[in-house]
Amino acid sequence: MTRERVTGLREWVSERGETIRQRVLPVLFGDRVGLTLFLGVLATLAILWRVGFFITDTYAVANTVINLAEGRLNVARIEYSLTLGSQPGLYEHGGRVFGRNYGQAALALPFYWLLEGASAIAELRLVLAGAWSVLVAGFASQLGRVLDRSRVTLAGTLLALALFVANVALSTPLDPRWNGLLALQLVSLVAAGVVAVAIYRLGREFHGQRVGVAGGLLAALALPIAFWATIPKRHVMSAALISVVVFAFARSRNADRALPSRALAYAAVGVLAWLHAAEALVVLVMLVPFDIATARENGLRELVIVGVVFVLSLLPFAVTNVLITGSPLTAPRMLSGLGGLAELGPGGEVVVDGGGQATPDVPTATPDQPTTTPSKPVSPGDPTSPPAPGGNQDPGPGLWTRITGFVGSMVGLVAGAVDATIGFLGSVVAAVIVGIDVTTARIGELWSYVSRGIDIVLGDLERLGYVFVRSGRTPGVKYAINDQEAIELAVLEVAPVLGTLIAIPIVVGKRGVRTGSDQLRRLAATIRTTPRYQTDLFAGALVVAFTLLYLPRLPLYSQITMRYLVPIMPVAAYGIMRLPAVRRSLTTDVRRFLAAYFGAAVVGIVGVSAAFVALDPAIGEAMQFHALVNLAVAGIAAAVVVLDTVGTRDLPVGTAIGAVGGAGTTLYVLAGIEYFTYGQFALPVAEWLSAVIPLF
Amino acid sequence: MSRAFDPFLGDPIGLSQQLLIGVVIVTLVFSGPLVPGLSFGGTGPPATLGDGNATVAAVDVDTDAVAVTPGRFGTDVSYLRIPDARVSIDDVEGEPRLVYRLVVPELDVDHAETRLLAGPGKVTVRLSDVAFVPGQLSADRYDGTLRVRVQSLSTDRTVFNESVTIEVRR
Repeated sequence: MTRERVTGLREWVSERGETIRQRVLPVLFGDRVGLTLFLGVLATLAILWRVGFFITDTYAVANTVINLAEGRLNVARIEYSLTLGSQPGLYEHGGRVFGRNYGQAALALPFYWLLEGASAIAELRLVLAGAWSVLVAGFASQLGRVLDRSRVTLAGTLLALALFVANVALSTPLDPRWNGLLALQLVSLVAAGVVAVAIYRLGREFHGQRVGVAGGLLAALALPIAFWATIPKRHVMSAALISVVVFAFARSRNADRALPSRALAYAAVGVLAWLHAAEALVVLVMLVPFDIATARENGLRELVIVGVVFVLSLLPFAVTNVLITGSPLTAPRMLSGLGGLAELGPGGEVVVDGGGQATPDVPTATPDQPTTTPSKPVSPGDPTSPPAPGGNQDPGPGLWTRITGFVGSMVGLVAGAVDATIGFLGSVVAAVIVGIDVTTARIGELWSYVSRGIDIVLGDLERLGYVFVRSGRTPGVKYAINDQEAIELAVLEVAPVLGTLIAIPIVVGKRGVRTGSDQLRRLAATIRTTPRYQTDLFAGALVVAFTLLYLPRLPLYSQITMRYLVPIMPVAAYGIMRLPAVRRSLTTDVRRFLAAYFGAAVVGIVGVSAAFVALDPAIGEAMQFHALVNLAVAGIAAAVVVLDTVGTRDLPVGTAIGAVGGAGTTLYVLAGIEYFTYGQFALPVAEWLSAVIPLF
Repeated sequence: MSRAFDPFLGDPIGLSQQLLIGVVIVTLVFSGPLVPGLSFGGTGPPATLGDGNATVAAVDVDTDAVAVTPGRFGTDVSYLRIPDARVSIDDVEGEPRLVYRLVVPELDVDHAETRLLAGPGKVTVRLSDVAFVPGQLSADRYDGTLRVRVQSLSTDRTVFNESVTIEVRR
């Protein structure tokens, strides 16, 4: 190739890259700050990434990924687990075994194939280390541009290089058999980044970049999103989709072109259904009335487009259901649990006893099965090596066999999907009629949960206190499965920054007094014309409905951070950004917030580590220590916000919010690095750091 | 963006980025099966137990510190506190491990932690505290045994064995 050609090619590539950047960046991340936030959140949370099973029901989903990659929906081969009976989250239908959370498993497939391909040509551990270093350098590059400091980029890139060298020096081999689990963890990690971006864009939409950055940062790193980011439960993905729904709702009321955002809100609900049907139904039930009531236009064209997009987004969910249960609206989760019906064959294949009794008794749209037990997160007694798969350990197929096998399985899966789609379209008319019926029935069931939730709010303040304020040793929670350790915390203890929401009634009250009762009638008109208030109402109603839905099940064991409520915590963080005191302070000087946040996190991590060297706590004591510290900091921050709202201006609100956020992050960093020991760290430097800190 | 431009170094950011990508790619290629005979990694502690032995110079366990004390910070349980075992290792061959174990028969406690040994030096083995719900402890003291063993597929040697009286402080 001649020199001119090379130069020409390079120019073409760089031009194309620029065009893509200009078009894609605003759509996905809003702007460069959004991208920077996304990369930063991913790079940070990857440090806490442990390769292993924290909660036993991850086995079922991870095995679903492996089987899906081999071209079948049913779980016929068990890659991860000790015994089949110990895997909650498997269901039986027609003599075959199925997993759940298919949306999560399907989104994990691209990551799985990427990892399979990469681990075929390079050592998996170094692939992860290399990708992480490139991520860190990418973050540094974007941060340098945002701050307009090229030194930041240079220092960050050199740091990324040094971290890669350190990772290589400390590395031990990582078995590619983990790829299924790693792929699921990557989906969850990316979802945590999506949470940050969605909340950032939500804040930016109404109050500009500074407020948005604070919101995005807090949502991803100061809420339990950080804790669950690499533990591939569904909650972070739920949180990401719900955050997208709220952002899209806000944007479709605020932006010039409303329709794409409005359709996005419904599409996110459709994907959420694929992940967890009951949660999607709650969001849908709240979204439809608020959307119709506050949309700028409800013309036939708008409604048809939104409806079509929604139906299309439901297709994966419906097709999966048709293929598994035969009915587009019966999710695998509604099938009868597997229990002790199945056994592991000698080759790791699944044998179902007494199969064929297809009993989709469609019990309830239960929010979740309480079958989740942490796989002993607090007893690091046994050296957790990868659980041996039941089966012979041949060195694994070569690259070519994998590729052909992959292509074959994909053809099979696509053919099956096409088949099902045709079947689906055929029955779509019937399904809509039945669907409305079924949906009404499900809404009835969900309402029974919500009404029980309301009863708890009205009649059981003590229980409410255990769920939201202070855990300690909560009555009625089975601590025996966690060796009696009090590791189940309350909402305010794990998300202390949400304590500032106590100022909401004061803000509303003040406005009411100022407006006067005679002008109350104008309120309706104001809401009709103000996207901010419309979003406030929608977000508030969503948080309340979602909380009431899960409240009858709480407090419960194996929640650690009240994880059932984690999906709406970022939406609650939107409430913080809407507080006038917070907004004012952040807009005036966001640097104070950032300094307080990072300062508190660093001081917190170092300080708590040092305190624990002296205190030598048990794991339960460590978690309760954080709980008390977080409650204290939450109290101070809430007091500052409330006082500033009431009238004393010029209080350091930004500093208070930053500090309380840093307290939350302290808990998650130390919990990830030190307290919950299982598996091995994905990154060798994190393993080293964990060994250096002399706790647990 | 204004990039720092140095007539001597040229574009340091671009250089550093190319360096990073280059190092990562070269390392990855060399780590895989495409270039046989060369491998990276594996310098960490041995991943599994094997044959071997270790010479232990000293074991330091504060046996007086074994006691049951109330849980702090609202945990509302009592904890059997177990001190760390600090072991000085003179020499390691193969892949042995240390086993640090506390047995209290009356309480049904048999608590152990293992630590693979990579080389000589000081090793600290930590045993997590054991929680008891109120009412589970009826006596004022219990008898237990603390042991430290060097273990491998070919050896199993006790290097520390002491009876302890565990006082229940309420």
